Amino acid sequence: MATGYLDNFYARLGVGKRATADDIRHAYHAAARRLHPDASANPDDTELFLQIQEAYEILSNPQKRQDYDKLLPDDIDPPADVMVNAIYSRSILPTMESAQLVYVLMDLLSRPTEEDRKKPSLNVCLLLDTSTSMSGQRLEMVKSTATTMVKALQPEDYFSLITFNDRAEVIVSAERGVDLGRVEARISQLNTGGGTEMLHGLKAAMNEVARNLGPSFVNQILLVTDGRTYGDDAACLEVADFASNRGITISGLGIGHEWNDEFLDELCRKTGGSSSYAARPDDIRRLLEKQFQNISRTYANNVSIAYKSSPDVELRYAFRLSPDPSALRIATPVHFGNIPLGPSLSVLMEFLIHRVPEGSREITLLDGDLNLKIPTRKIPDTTARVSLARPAAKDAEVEPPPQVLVKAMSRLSLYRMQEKARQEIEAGDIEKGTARLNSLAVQLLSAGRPDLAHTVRLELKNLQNGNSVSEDSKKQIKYGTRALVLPNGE
Amino acid sequence: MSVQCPNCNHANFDGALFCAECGTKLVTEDGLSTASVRPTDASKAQVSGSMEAVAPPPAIQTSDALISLHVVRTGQILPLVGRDEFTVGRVSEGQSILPDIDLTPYDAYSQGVSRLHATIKLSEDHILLIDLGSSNGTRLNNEKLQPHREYELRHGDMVALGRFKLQALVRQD
Repeated sequence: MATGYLDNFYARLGVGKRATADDIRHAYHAAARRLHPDASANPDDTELFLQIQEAYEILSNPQKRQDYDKLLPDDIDPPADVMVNAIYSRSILPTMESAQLVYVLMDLLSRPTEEDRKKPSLNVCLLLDTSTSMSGQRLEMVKSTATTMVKALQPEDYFSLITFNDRAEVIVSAERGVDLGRVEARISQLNTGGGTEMLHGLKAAMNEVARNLGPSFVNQILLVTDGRTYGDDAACLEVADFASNRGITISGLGIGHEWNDEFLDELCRKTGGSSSYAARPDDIRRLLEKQFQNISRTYANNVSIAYKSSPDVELRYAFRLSPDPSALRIATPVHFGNIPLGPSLSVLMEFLIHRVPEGSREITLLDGDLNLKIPTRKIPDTTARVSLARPAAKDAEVEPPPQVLVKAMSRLSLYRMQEKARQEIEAGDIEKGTARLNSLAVQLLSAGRPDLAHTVRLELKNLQNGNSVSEDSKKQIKYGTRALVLPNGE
Repeated sequence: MSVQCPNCNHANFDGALFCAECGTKLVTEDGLSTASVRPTDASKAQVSGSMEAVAPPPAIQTSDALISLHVVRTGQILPLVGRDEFTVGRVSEGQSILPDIDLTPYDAYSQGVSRLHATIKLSEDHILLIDLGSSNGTRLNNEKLQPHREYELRHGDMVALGRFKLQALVRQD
């Protein structure tokens, strides 16, 4: 039975421990309206709904609730605004001296009041690479998307526009209620020229966002680039750390095959954002609009968990399944990104437990603080203690893992294979990397993606002929397998 | 302890769901499909009073079975007919021995019911309940049973398989 910090029946419903019977009923009905199999098209929601229902069945019955309360630690008090639910691959951990893996699927779901349902105010900076390589179709596409974006702004939103090549230029400085005509004219005059020096641009963008920085805004930099920045990578990553500390999220869109996806990923992940890949100029509008939509549909942002683990437990991997799939950076705090107004923020974590000593009764996988911000609230910052733990027992019968978790892992396993193959090839272990790519091609075929399998096979040929993998294919394979993580594709 | 991949022989960590080398699935997932839970619609079947307290058994029985099991959470009645020994448990994929009474549709997995959890035996004048060494144990009126020992089951008794609550209904004639 779930009785940990942020892993209990109250947290599942997103109500406090002192919630009234009415609060509990309202929370349940609101969840049922969104997650019930008749209401939601996402099959994973059914599992989530069943978990919430289990919580409701206990908490709606005064006697059962009283009995359950006795099991809870005294100082537990879940935040009354987010529903938290954890599904584990093992319900009980068998004691053993050798290592075992445990997977946790954690869902955070908004619990908006009427007031929260409106869009949050944005403090957004569009940061555009205008180096020479952007000229032509790429820039035209970015320009027209930027104009659409400006038209979609709300009167309270702050918007700024910066371009960078060899230097940065403030095209529109952060302002509210933008003068559409003037901004449109400035966007249409944008030109290309020079190289890609990202650091100047990032710093200028930070400046613009910092002017109106506050917890009541979604503070965001949208970076669009098509090239590699040289020599200032480390300094850019430092800016990202600084941004993250101040609650500014960076998300990136890379166009074509020249840009460095690993660098851009690292830059964005440090802040809870993610990168996306536009193979062709036609993809630019769709992806950029999606990023913009993601931020304007935010319920809570800067969601992170600062944690400690015991020496026997290691968080090895974390991946955000939705919204906006992305591997997360393993560090404390782990930046989860945003909880959208509608669907859940869903994160899959892999824990390696080095040993479960005989006599253990419980193993704590993670213990720490969940921090998040709900911009539409008077007091946006929220903190709650979170602990994920499992009981341990000698000779515990190992149950098959929940279906929803296996499904999520199976969608993720192809992305992880791609990740590993890439690391192996980069480390010079061509033999291992090619063996893995071969397996990946097979799995892609059985996953119904002959197009991606074909790309992988072409790369294998390349490698066997002693050539290096093309940047283009690397990105296609990476972002292609990442899109498979979503139940309905990206 | 490690899990060997049937495809590439890689030794994976215990608990791995997919092979770390080749991506082959290493587990059979929980047989409980969410669809099978829906028809019972547990959300509507409210159970009044405490689960722990022994509620008075329903007076009317629709079946002529000597013994029936009342699923407390959903209100379903499962008549035991056609033989004199019944295993109770849940079905999961790849399982060779199936229980006579499958509790899978009632969310048995999350309630801690083992695949072969307990046996109910009908004899001349007794009904006997035996725990089959289940991982989460069996309780009879809140008392934990020693595995593989016979306990007498009477009308109205509450049986907990893990957290799964059943009430024994014995035809009174």
